[in-house]
Amino acid sequence: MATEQETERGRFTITQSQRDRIARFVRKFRSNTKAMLGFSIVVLLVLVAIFAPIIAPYPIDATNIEDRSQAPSVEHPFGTDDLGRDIFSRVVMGSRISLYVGFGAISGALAVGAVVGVVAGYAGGLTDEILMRVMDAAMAFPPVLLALTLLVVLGPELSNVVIALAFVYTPYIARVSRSAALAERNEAYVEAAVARGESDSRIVFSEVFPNCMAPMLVQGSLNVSFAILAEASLSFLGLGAQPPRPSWGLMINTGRGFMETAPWMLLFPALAIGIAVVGFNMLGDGLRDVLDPKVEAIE
Amino acid sequence: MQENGKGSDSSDSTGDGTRRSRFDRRTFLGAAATTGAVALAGCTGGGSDDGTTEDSGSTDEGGDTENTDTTAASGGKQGGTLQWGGAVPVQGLDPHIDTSAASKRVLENIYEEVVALQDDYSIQPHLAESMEQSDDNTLLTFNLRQGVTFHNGKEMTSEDVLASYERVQNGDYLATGFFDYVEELRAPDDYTFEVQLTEPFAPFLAKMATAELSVMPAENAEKDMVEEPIGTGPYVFESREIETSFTMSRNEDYWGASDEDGPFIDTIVKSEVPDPSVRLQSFLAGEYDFINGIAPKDVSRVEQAPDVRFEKQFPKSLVYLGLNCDVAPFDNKDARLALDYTIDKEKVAEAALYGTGQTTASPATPGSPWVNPDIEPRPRDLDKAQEHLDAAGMSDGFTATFKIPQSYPTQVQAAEVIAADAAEVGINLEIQQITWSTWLSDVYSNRDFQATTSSYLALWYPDVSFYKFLHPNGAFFFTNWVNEDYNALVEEARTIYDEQERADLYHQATEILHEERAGHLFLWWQPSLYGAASQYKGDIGAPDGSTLQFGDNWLDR
Amino acid sequence: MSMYNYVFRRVGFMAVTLFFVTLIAFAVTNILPGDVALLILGPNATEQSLEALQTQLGLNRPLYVQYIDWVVGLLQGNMGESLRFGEPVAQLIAERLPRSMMLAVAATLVAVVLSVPLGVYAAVNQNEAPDVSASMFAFVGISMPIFLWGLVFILVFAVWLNLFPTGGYVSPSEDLVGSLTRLVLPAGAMGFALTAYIMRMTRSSMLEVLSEEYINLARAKGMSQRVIVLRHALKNAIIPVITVIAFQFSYAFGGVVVLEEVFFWPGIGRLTLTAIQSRDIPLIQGCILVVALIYMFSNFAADLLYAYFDPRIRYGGDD
Repeated sequence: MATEQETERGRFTITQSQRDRIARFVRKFRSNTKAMLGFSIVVLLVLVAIFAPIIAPYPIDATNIEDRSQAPSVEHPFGTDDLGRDIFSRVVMGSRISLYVGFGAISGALAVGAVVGVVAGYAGGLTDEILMRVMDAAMAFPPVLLALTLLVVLGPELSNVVIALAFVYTPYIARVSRSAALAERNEAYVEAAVARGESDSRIVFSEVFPNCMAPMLVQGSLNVSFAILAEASLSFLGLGAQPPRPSWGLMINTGRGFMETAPWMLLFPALAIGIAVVGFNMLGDGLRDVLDPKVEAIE
Repeated sequence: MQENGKGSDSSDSTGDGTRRSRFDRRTFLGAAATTGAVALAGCTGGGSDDGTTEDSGSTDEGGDTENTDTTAASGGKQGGTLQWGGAVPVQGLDPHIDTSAASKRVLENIYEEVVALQDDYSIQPHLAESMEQSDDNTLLTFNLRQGVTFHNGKEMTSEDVLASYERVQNGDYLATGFFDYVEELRAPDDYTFEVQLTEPFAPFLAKMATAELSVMPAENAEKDMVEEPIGTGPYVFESREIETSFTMSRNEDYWGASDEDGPFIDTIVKSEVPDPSVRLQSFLAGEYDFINGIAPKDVSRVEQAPDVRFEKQFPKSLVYLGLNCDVAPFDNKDARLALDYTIDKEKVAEAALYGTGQTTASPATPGSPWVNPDIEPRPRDLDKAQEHLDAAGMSDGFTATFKIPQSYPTQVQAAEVIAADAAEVGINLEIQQITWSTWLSDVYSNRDFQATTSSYLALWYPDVSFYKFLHPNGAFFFTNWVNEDYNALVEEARTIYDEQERADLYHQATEILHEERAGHLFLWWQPSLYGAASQYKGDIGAPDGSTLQFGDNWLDR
Repeated sequence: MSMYNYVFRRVGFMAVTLFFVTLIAFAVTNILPGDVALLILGPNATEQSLEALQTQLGLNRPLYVQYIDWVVGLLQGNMGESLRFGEPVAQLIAERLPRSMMLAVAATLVAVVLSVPLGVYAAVNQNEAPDVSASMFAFVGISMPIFLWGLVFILVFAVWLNLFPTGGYVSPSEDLVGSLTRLVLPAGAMGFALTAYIMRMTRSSMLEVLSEEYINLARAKGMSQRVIVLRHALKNAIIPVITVIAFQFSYAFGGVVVLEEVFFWPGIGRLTLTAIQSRDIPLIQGCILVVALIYMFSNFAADLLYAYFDPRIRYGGDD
């Protein structure tokens, strides 16, 4: 926890104690298998996404009806789809969509959710009550169902998927950050800041907020995996990414019709989703182990 | 000849919201014959031969030829329950209102009309015993059958027919426009019904044979919307659960019942299984006796499956690329031509239809005299595409949204191929899958689109193909392509009864469509594809493949 | 704070939340694009008839009037009439809700049967091969969207092995066996996906209990591991698991939307999807409201269970 001296020196310099905390975090993180495994998968995914155009051997939209529905081979390691497109190239390029939606939606949710949560937690009282009841209400709708309804309104586009999912996951982030803020509110450094006569907004954003980051990161990482799953479901229902985009969910949707004749159309995008989801899940779990001593004690 | 069908069924996967007519060339002929127009037996024979060849050819491949030879005349076994795995859920149940092909597939068996289409393509009295036409063709007199009862037990009289017709005339129903040519409807006695036309208007009789003028009990005709169908047909509505199932049972008191023609099957249960793969899997697993809407990609699997009867009826519907000629970029003819030249139509049709369809450059039904034999789809030519882009002042290409109804996998596949082809000259078509209801409101009604795909039913009547979709006054005009020369040609064609003369006009009109690159860029004609268990006997489907009639079908088990 | 007060406070929360739920359900559905009147009348409708229908359906009144009308109707048990199908929304939902319930309950049962023994087994063999495999198994379950498990189950058990039908629904009152065989695959697929969370909870709860003093005492007394685990530890460890199961039930209910589409199970999920696709506003409102209510009530039940079983809970605490 931050001390009074640190806050006086300003938030932009890294103090010795912060440096110690970071070092401790890194040490614990590196010794946690789950965290490291998840982290490796996520890094790998990000690298694949960045270098996707180099990795992908074929253009993703090039149709070739003569070579449609070919089983995996040397030329096409994952086979070809119903329009003769190389599935390996599409799965590789698809990583960009999943990460875009996952990171995009959760960044949005973090930005809004954190503000709502920290404000509610710090302010307390009626503000807290109202904000939290609204969040509860939004959480009462199953995520995919709410996103689906929103997408009918917004139109079926990938950027709208990001917006809809950001909206859907905001309350989850808000809840977590509120709890964290609630805990911080009674800490000595906040009381000291109040005693110094600092304004509420300054206290919230420069002192409480940074200290709520850890649980938000955990929640955020887990929610990235949920968002990736949700994108797949939405695309599966036709309201997410639009063809010919190589969205994994969309590829599964098409592959569904060829389940018996060309199962590879479904298999490889499904595996890709699985790997991505496991990666972010492990990372989130691992982060929780590392950052939350209570959980660590149990496991 | 006037518009005879409100034909615009889209393909097998979702017909909701679209309308159809169960009549194509046959109705046309019938109407022509009854109005004393030139007999078209020769050319129609040719057309139907084409269709028949398609049918029997594919059935041979299915290895179950003997089944298709089973005709109603040979009689059938009574009883049994037909489990039908249906492609598109039944929508509304009011025959005068509902536009969906899926509803017609059941309503055709529940309701009947005063006249009906026969196998020899003529229109004959049906609920009427006989009919007469005055010499000037303006007075139609029908002597109704006695002893026909509705499913509620009440006898049908001229009062019911009159009420049904007046409902359409005075309301806002599918066939209401046809009553512009009606001076008076009369029911002089219980079994006589008269229609006085303002002028000779052949399509009226043809219209009378469609579900849009089904006969319902007078008390139902008073309702704005009928929710529980009561007709005189061979099947009685039992129950339905929306999006789940629809059940009808044999009409024990059917006036036309016979050992030869049925009805035979006790109960018909339609399970709504919109997903084509699931439907096929369940069918092959033996859960259904019959399925409609087989996906083209699965045709070879069905053909190879043992003990399965595969039926194909061609053509069923025309799929086209719709370009909005009122907004950029497709308000520019060169932009439309550029796109046209980028598309490899054969490849697109093959990608979506796996060899079950045929490309076209004419809106007229293949095999009909209205097809201009000299006009072919433009071949893919990227140089010419670039020339037209330059001419349009869009040398680097352009971007347009491409709204595709998501329930039609074949159209989505086609759209992907088209978008990939067009991208090579910098034309970016951004696909947006939309639901059918969105298509209706955004594309059709508000005309808020740049490019889209859609389809309409194969109809022998050229007026549907040439007027309804492409004339600004047509009922389904939405691509905003307007050409005065074209309009004059198709308007004139409506008034001409001589086939050759009329065909000439349509050939010229087709030329204009092609040269001016009208808002409808035709992609392909596609068939109806059915699968049935081998014990399922009788002719599947209505003659033109647009709907289903179970009256003479039976189960051999 | 007493249990009574806690429940009272919770109910108060729920009432406020409920108000916001109706507000969200109404707000979201009323900005849906698409002309409802056009959908009903079809593309041939004239301007006048469209306007007449809009007036008849009250679609051209101010939004707040429509909202108040809707809520007043809800309070009287009237959810309006489905625009598309002309049947009361409440009736449509009442028909389908039990089927989704059946699916969600069966799925939860499958998940419990799979996950509790697995969790216990993993805890007893902490950090050994069985523990790791069980964790992997659970991870596999949550790593894929539920609909994908549906597809996989269809492919394996219906198409390849031909053990169960590919989908559909038969009423248990008509054909009990047929009904149950159709329930196996969707319930199995969803149950499998839910296994992970319950298993994890069982495992960590077991671990906690197993490290308690009285267990060590029992061990010292020479009781067999089997007796310790099954008779003593599990009894105490199961409490938090029960609350997780209640949460999972509500989660399962959310999953039915897509899963019902895969198995064409005519429950509330498919009804909602149909409603969304045809922009049947009263039906969408009714469906999402009911689903949200179920979610709220099962969470409420989970909270109460948790509070009831866990003496450590601070009733006055937030969340």
